[in-house]
Amino acid sequence: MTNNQEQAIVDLPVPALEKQRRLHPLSWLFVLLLQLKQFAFPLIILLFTGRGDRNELWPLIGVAALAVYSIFQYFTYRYRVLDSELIVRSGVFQKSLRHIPFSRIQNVSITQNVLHRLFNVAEVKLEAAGGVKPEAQMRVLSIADAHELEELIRGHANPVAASAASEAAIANMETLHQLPIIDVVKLGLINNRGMLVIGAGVGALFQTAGKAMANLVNSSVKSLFGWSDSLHLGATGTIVSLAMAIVFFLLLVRIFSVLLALLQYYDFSLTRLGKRLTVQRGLLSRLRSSLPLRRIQAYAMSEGWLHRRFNKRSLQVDSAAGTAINDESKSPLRDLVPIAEPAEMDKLIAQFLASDQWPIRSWQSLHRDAWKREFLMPALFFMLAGIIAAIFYSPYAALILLVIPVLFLRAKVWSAHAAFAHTEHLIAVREGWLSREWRFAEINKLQGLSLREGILDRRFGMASIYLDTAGAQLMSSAFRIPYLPREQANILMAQLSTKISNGPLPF
Amino acid sequence: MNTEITKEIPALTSADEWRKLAPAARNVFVAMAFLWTFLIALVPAGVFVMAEDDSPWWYLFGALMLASTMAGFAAYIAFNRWRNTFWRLDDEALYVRRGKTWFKQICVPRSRVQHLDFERGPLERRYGLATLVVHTAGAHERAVRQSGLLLADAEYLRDVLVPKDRRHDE
Repeated sequence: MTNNQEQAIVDLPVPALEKQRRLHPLSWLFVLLLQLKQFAFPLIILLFTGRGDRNELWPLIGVAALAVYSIFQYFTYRYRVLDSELIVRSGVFQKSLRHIPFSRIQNVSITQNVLHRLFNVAEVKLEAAGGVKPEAQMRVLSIADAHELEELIRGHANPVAASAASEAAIANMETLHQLPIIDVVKLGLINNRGMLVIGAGVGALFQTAGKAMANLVNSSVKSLFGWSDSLHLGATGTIVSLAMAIVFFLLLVRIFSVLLALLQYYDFSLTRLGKRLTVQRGLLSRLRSSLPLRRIQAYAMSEGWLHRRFNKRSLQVDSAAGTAINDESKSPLRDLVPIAEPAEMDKLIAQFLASDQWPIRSWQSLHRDAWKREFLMPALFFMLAGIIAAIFYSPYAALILLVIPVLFLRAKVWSAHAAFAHTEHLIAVREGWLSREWRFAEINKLQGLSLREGILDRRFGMASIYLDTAGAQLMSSAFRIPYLPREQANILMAQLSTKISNGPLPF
Repeated sequence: MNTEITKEIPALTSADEWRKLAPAARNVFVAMAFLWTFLIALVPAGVFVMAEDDSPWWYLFGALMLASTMAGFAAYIAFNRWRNTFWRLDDEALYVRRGKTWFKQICVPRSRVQHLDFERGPLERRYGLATLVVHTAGAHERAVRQSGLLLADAEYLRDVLVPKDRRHDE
């Protein structure tokens, strides 16, 4: 989808409307550091495995080569700001010239880690719609240059604000949402991202040093049990201490999550300038990223069990500004509102949608037997699994059947909450039992629809409608309106199709 | 709700508008399913026969029978797939309807079509068929692929779904 001309031209006849600019003089250092990071593993291995005096020098030669390359890169990377586009020239051996019209740039993201802040520089990424890679990545610009570029692009993307000087623009900036530290702590407790990090870390450790790790775990478990044996606790004592160990571990993970949230979300602010949202956050590494409101494709508001304890909800959005933004690790805009109280969240969503369609008042119920359908599928599966396991493995496996009452309860609670809504511009669905979710999208953002009906559905006379939007996370569950009465599903599908066809184009 | 919109929509079940796949596609679907399944099933069957040095003659016969039964089943599924697939184009959208046990009706609004791919394999060329792939900007169903279309139908769809004035658009 990218339509940039990429040409390998050495001497480029570019009109000199404005002088060429370079990156920050220290940019070679950051390029080098990044490359060292990439090569860190082989370099370390070389350092440790290369025995003998002479071999130890090899990595240094590699580092020197990388340093020379980084310096060359600094001297060859130039950019120029024209009236309506940005021209980036780069490449040491393979020269490239890239024209990036301002209108195509959807997002300017500015990242500053600790080292960047020390030297007062920032990494700037210009992202276009639908691209996986950023259109241009400037590593690194001085902070003044970065802000100037951001201002410029923001002005072009939003002509109303462009006429105003940047000072006036800042005055127009409206802060929508901020997180005090206590909320950041709550966020850490709720999202429990520490578990993900620990899981990934353990996985990586096992992968790199599998055998040694396994031995270590084995011996430490053995010594733990030996130690508990020496305490003469008995069976109940062992169980209690084991339970305590698990509780302690879970607590530790939560604390870690809070620290992580503080690192990532400290001083979070969501601001709005015209039709553009900007998110800023981070304790050590500051991150700032913005996106036009119309780029938001679909919303997902969630409320887990812990959310309810703190009276909070979270809002995530899918944006069409490329997978680079939707990438979990570096997506400041995916978690658009990390947590907010329900009433405040409703106000924010109403602002994003620019209409009085939120909160929705006209929720409609699903098929009368929806709970049976929701219950039967997993119940049949567990029943079959339980019976087979009981016959072929052990009679105790029949305990699996105890899940079934839980599934029944789940289906009942689920159906009490499940509903859908179809207003003039909005399609929405809410589901869940312990943790609840509201998903919605503007109808003109829908890209495709499909109606599905399985065997069980046909017995009940129901069908589900799946809604496809751009930028949807492939890993997450599909956006669907489940278990509608068959006739109603047909009508809804036809209505949506008409609205999509007659509505304005989404981009 | 929007009653006036509902009125304009023809009922989705009006069968006369739904088009079947090309008759020639039936034979292609069935033949391809049979051949591929037979070839793939033959490998484990062959291994099984070769496993013993002095396997009796009917081992080979049985392996062939098993492979052809499986291939026959695959051919039956392919036939059903052909029989239960329909498509329809109206002013608003392209619809594709598939399956019976697991029924699925896809709707791609015409204003959401990004681009189209037109594919023809050797067998499809031989029988005047074509495969059309309709791409949208969506995620879960970013490409709707339908094989077994009559060449003329596929060309017609290609021409109408992306009108000429939009062809050279970015």
